[in-house]
Amino acid sequence: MIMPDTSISIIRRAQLSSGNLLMTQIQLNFEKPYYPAAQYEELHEFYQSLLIC
Amino acid sequence: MTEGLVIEKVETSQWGWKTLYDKSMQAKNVILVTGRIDESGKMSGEATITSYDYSRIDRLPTAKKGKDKFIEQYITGTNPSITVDDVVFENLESDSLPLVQKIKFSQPLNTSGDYRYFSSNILTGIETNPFIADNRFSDVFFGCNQNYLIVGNFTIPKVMNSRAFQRISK
Repeated sequence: MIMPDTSISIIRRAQLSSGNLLMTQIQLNFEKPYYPAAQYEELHEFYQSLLIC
Repeated sequence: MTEGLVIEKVETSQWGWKTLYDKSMQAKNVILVTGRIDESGKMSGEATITSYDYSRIDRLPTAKKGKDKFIEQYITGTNPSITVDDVVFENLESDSLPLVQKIKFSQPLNTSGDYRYFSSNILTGIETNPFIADNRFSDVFFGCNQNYLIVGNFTIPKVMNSRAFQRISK
């Protein structure tokens, strides 16, 4: 998943091994620190999706 | 402080905003979690959080205030259901090394119908959405770039069958 301007990206992986070992990985990268108020809706929506990781 | 108003020459009124933070550095956290889920639906485990660069700078003052303050600000503040049994800090006084936080924790799993579930986004400080308002009129400035890597290994009891995971992961 990635922001429309590609400034924030998240990669999620999950694998079930041996029937009972769940291995997960989340990689989250912010490549800019500043978001104007006009971009708030995108930021808000992206953060919402973090809750289901 | 990440930006400052610099007045270079008062006589000529030369001034401007100057970036004070180092753009080559990030607030970087690597979180390794090992969790064991028992048949009653409780997870217990250990985590190692390694905080680099600006993340070390951010967490260090609270870590130096003591374990209770640190747990309240960085763990239970964003995840009230978690119980922290112990926290050990490493490299508190070594400025050139990342701040290491070793945590022993337990937390109950969530339940919905016949399913138990949990988020693998734990101990990150970003478990909840800080942007709760539908609209915002001021800009958002995080202060620096950020990077998180969360690696989890969770042991699930055999009585909880894997079909649930397969269904969810599709």
